[in-house]
Amino acid sequence: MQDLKQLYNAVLEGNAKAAKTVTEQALAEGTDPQTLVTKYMIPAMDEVGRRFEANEYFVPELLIAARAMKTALQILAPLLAAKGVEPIARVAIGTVKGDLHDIGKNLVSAMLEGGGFEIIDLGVDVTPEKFLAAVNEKKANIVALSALLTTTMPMMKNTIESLKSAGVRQQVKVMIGGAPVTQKYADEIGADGYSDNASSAVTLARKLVAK
Amino acid sequence: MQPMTSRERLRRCYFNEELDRPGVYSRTGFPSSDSTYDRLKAYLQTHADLKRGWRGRAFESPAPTEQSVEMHTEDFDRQMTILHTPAGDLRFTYLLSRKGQPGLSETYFIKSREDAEAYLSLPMPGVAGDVSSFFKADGEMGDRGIVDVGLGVNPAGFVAELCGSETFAMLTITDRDIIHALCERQMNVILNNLRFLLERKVGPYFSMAGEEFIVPPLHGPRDFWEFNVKYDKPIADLIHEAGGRLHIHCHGSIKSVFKGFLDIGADVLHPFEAPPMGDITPMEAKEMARGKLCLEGNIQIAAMYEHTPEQVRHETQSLIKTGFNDHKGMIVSPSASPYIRGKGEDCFEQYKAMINAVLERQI
Repeated sequence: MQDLKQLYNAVLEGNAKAAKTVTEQALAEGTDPQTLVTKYMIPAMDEVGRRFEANEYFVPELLIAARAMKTALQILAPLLAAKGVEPIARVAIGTVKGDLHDIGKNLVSAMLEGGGFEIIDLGVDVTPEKFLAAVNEKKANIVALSALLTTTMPMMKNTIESLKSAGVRQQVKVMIGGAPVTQKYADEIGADGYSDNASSAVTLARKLVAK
Repeated sequence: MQPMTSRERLRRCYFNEELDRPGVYSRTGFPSSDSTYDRLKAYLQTHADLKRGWRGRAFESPAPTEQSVEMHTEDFDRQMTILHTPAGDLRFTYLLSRKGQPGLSETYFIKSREDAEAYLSLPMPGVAGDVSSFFKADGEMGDRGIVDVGLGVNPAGFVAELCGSETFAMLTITDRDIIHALCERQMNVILNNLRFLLERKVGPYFSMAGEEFIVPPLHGPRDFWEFNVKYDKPIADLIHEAGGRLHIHCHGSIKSVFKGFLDIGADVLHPFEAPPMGDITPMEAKEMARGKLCLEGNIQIAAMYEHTPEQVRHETQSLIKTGFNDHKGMIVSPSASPYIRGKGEDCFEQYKAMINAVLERQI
């Protein structure tokens, strides 16, 4: 019988090959795919996040853990879909219009995906209209806005205003982040939450969907 | 104390000697063709201590590349560069703003270990040329300041740029040996170039950037020492052996790696940013730098656009009180160049307030 703790360790250590092997063996032995995700993979990514916040892990460790998680998820995703398992929520994420920085956005995406969220990655230089379309057409429950420049931060406000104008603001939670962004700014523009790093973004997203 | 010329003041900053007042300087990467900054440029020219950049890496034989540009969107063009190596072509694409805004590297030369090996197959560039423009620039600068010999991006930062931050991060775990090989190659490229300059008496003020690719929270202290310190230190040592000084520009959360800059042998460090952009207060920076390193900074650039002149004046006074209590090692400066297109007039009074607060500190 496969020791499923090995899956936890494979994700935590960023060993994609081991994550794939253990996942395949566990499935062959009849283990429930959802169990693999909720009891081993998500807790492993939570530990990655904890270590990141504690300055024990940095971006390389975070990225490589997310890659291992993704490798296993690619095997599990069709099985989960067939069983009707829904993600915690769908997150439409992007760097706002006028801003081309994507590292922070990509890290948050990786951690959210590792945390059980479905990611709709809209990329960089994303217009308010594209965020709105993701809410309307792809049923995003959360809109996550990233900006690195103080000059592009106002586009976060514009995006929220667009969601309001389109009458969908109450359907979604809006979270924002990026180096110059603060909780004060989030409060000023009417965002539902602010996170200062990729790991706490997962905690924030979970809180927002639990409300 | 007799008032110093800007040239003497900056020399003393770089050599950590007693000053009549802090230096005051602004980086000059203004938005191109933006006349709203003309008044600020003129003011800095007459009131700030000046540093004029001189490209110290312009003498390397260029890599064999081809470039083409195509329209990407109404806002951006896509610029493709193909680098021909003996082991095959490498491609890099860049989105170039059609409206004068910052661009974005889209794909990178090195996407895998195989690409890295291809890059390593390139022959080392030769170094040749006429450096007389340095001495001309230095003569023109006279007592108004110094000429800063730019060495470009440091070895590890250069490798991070070749790979892109994410691929670089992954390779530092999966293929650490190849990252070391790339850093070592680039260190030798810079050392060859530097020897060429030093033999021709160019100097003594050199600058380097790029360490910021390998600082927290992107990379941990271990990577900072293994990639930045290891490959920067021989460059700093060579500069020091020739009686020169090294300025390093590095954004990020530098508190936990501050000692690493001392280990490199940096003589001036810009910037030192408090939260939310960084993690180090002026007091913490000064305590670690005292007697060893000149701090250049740190009025956050956003303050120049968002705070009132009076706020900037207070911020500058507070900075001087903390960072200049030994009358050494301080150049007051914003954290970055003025960068917002069309907003030159909006920040003029703030720059003036910063400079006046420094000028008032004349001993």
